[in-house]
Amino acid sequence: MFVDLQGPWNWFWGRLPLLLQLHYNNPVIGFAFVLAVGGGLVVVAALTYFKLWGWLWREWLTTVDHKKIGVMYIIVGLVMLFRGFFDALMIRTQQAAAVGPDSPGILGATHGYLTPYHMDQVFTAHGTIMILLAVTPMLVGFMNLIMPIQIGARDMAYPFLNAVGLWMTIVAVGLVMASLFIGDFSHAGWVGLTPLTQLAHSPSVGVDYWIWVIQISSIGTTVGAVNLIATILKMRAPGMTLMRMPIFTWTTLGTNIIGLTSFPVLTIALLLLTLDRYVGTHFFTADGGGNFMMYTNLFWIWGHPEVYFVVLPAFGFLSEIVPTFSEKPLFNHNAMIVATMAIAGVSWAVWLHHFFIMGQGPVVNTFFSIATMLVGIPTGVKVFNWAFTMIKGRVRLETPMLWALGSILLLIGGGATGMMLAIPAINYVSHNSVFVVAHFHNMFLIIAFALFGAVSFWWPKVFGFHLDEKLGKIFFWLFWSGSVFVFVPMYALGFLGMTRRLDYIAHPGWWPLLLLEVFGIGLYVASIFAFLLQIVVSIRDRKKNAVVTSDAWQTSRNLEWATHCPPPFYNFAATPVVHSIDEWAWRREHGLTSLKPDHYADIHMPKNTMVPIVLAFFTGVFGFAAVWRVWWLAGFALLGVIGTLIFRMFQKDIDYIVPASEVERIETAYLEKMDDRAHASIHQTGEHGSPATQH
Amino acid sequence: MAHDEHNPLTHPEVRSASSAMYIAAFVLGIVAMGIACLVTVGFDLSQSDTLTWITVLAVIAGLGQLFLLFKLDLSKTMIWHTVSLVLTVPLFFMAVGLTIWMFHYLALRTMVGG
Amino acid sequence: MSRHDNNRYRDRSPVTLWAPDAGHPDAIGLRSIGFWLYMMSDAMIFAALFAAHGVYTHAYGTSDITASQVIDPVEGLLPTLFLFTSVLMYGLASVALKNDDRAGVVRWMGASLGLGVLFLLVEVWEFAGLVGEGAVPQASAFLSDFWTIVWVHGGHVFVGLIWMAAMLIQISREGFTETVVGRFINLRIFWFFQAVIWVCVYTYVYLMGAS
Repeated sequence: MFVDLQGPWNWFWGRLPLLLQLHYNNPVIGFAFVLAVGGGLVVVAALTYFKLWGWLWREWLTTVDHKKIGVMYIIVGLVMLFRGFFDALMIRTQQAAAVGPDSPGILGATHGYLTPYHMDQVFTAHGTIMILLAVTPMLVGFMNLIMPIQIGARDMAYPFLNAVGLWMTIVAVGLVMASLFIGDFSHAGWVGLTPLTQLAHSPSVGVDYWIWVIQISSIGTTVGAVNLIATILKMRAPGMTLMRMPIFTWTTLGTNIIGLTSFPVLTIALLLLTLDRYVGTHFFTADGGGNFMMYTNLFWIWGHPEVYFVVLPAFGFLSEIVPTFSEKPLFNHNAMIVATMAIAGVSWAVWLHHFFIMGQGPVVNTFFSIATMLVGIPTGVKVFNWAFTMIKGRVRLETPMLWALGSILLLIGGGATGMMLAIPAINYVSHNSVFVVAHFHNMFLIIAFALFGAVSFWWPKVFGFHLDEKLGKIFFWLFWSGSVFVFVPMYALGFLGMTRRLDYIAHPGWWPLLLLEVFGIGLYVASIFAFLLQIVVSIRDRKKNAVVTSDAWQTSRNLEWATHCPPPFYNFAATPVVHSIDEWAWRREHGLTSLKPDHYADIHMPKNTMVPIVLAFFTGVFGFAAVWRVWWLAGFALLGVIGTLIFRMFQKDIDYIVPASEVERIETAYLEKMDDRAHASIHQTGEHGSPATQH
Repeated sequence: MAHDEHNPLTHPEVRSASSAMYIAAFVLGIVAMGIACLVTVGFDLSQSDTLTWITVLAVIAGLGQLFLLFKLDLSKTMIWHTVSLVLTVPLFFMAVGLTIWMFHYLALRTMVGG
Repeated sequence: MSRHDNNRYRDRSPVTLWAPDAGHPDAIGLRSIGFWLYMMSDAMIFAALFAAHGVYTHAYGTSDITASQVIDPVEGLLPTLFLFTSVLMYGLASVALKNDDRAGVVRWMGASLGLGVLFLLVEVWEFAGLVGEGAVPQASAFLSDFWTIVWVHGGHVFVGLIWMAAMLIQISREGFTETVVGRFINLRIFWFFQAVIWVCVYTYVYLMGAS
């Protein structure tokens, strides 16, 4: 039933004997190993030394609280962002080191320091990790963290499922990290071009790792999408009509509609590829009637909506940050909603622009070209709305606003180059050039900027103190300059005709621009240090930078600011009643900012559970066994998953009641603490006042 | 959430069960598929005629099942079920239709695939 | 907001800022919409498969096994009958649920389960025959596609059967609690959906392949 493999396989160890044939003498991998294992050991040692294991288990690992799950998503995303950045660093330095026939080579490479096979794995890992395991978890993290509070909900619709989604993402992260040291990773690009990914051309386990990493993380995304959509549809506070929902909640809805409907197509594309690789079917082979463009087609049916899946929440962040720091309502709330949903809708009819050159001819290309350009209209509406929000507003250039402005500027550049690429005639010459690479990095940077804006914007809400402004600005400017120095030369190189995914650059004339890119990546490295320093300094100064009211920025507009910083585990002591778009701004303008309800009532909460971790354990074992084709183990793991699900089905003791008296006690303690802080900040000299008056 | 102070059997989605509707859906499905089978096997129609017939019958059976089995309507209980289905169906047909369309042209111009 | 507005709100009896009681969320409806959303996602799985099917209909490569040789629409009516009857039985089980008739639910659900098993057995028998003729999934892209579509649907039915068996045990042990009823309704959505998908599979794989 299964295909014949090149190389060793036995029923007990599967393909694991392959490991004996690998040579672990590459210092690059050695360094990564030391870094990953060393980092892991430091964390484990610290947890043991400070006796934090119990706390970690009770408060974080088994939690079903959407805020903690959101924070964990964001931490996982940040760690993977760092890992993906390391890959980027290697790509940039390798390309700059391997220019022209005279460039020297070390570590077994003819030019530069990475062999072609290694380099191919690096850019594949970079793409896969950045999109699916860094940006996506961070965005999902913010949706988890903020959206339920914005609509005045106690929790997500399905808290248990929420934890399952997180843990599936963590399993995928674990598998991708395992691939670094146990075997190898795919070398076929993050899109996994067939027939290169077929077993005959990629006989190692790399592609299998890549397949299962994506499949498992997609489960997490799908489960998350169901949860977020159902939460928005069913859990809104009284008075929160659809048209009153904050734009971030709307973009969450749009994004998850895309995620819910597009990820299954990816699942099928990869399932068919898996069948080709494991069973020997002929979906994407060159023989047997297979059609390898079918893979590209299915991949991009998912792939393009996925682009909007990641960009819409970023637009949501901007729509929250810009009004807050312009001290004005968002310009034309309704147009923003329509634009969001229009982008989500059109995103489904544009995917062919990723392969205009397939050969389907002008009729089909024209349709998809026009559809692609249509996306520019709602996106333009958004840019104008943000601009009109700022006009005549009192614009405060605090860190979140800086990130937002950077993001909008990048959107203009990325949007313009996107329009160029939407024209098939231009696409025919620029296809597969680094111009395309620069364009989509430009688009992803919009998301990165919006994400860092969101981190600094909501940090005081989640942790109760502000991030350090000065270091935040240094971080921003370093990151911004890094982006300019890396990607402006890359656009130029694209025009000059440099193709993507090169491990050796034959044209010495491109060297200066490549060196400029290395300078840019150096700025990025510096920006990472600034970010880490910012977090360390802010934690050190957390008393000084503590927030004194629920409304950390004094001018914020939505319901997440109508609860404490950090929010109690039940979010709101009593469910808020919504009277307006921008409810919190409405309350502030009417002097109704008291957080004390008339009376407290019992609150019903879900209990912590370890079932998601058990499910993740079995899923991880399944993924690993499937990669190495250890079928008995995969079978047991699958039985474990089914058994755990049935166990959960029969579990009864899954929720509890927080009595009104306990709620009152927690609330009173919070309010007193805030009063104390407010007094303290008044008595101190002006420098620690509200951030609004810091400058 | 999981309080059992009120009877779950009074929920509208429990109350909507109806033997007549389920039997109607069953009969509709079997008859439509039977006729479609007969059209395909028993008559010597051109391929496009057959395709038209069986598509019409599949639409009748599918829509009939959707409405008779799931009771989709615009009531407060079911509105979001209906809306999400109405939003998904176009995506379903776009994914299938546009794919077939582009590969049809591809095959015409390159003779790749079938 | 103008001062006038401000006063208007001050003068009236105080506005309600906090709902005194969050109300009783509809647990069954909440679960059912989530599961329905998941079914929309599941439908897109079949959309992708049908998109591929539209291209692989006659992709035989060098194989000389054609669609009309391996597909017999009349034979395909038998699993259709079993699946639709199984769905009807589940429908009758949910009518029994409405009437708070535990024995009836168990009886009809048992019948539904049995017919589901029959559906799978018929398919296994049909595909075992194909293996005998050499029409294995490795033979051509068309056969890869045919096997995959039918068995992705079959896999769904299999999962449904496991779920139904667990559900039967739970109903006989716990009766109709809110959780159990919610789960029963989700399984109903899942099971009915398999019939709708089968209409597409039967029409576009069996009938179209044979025509």
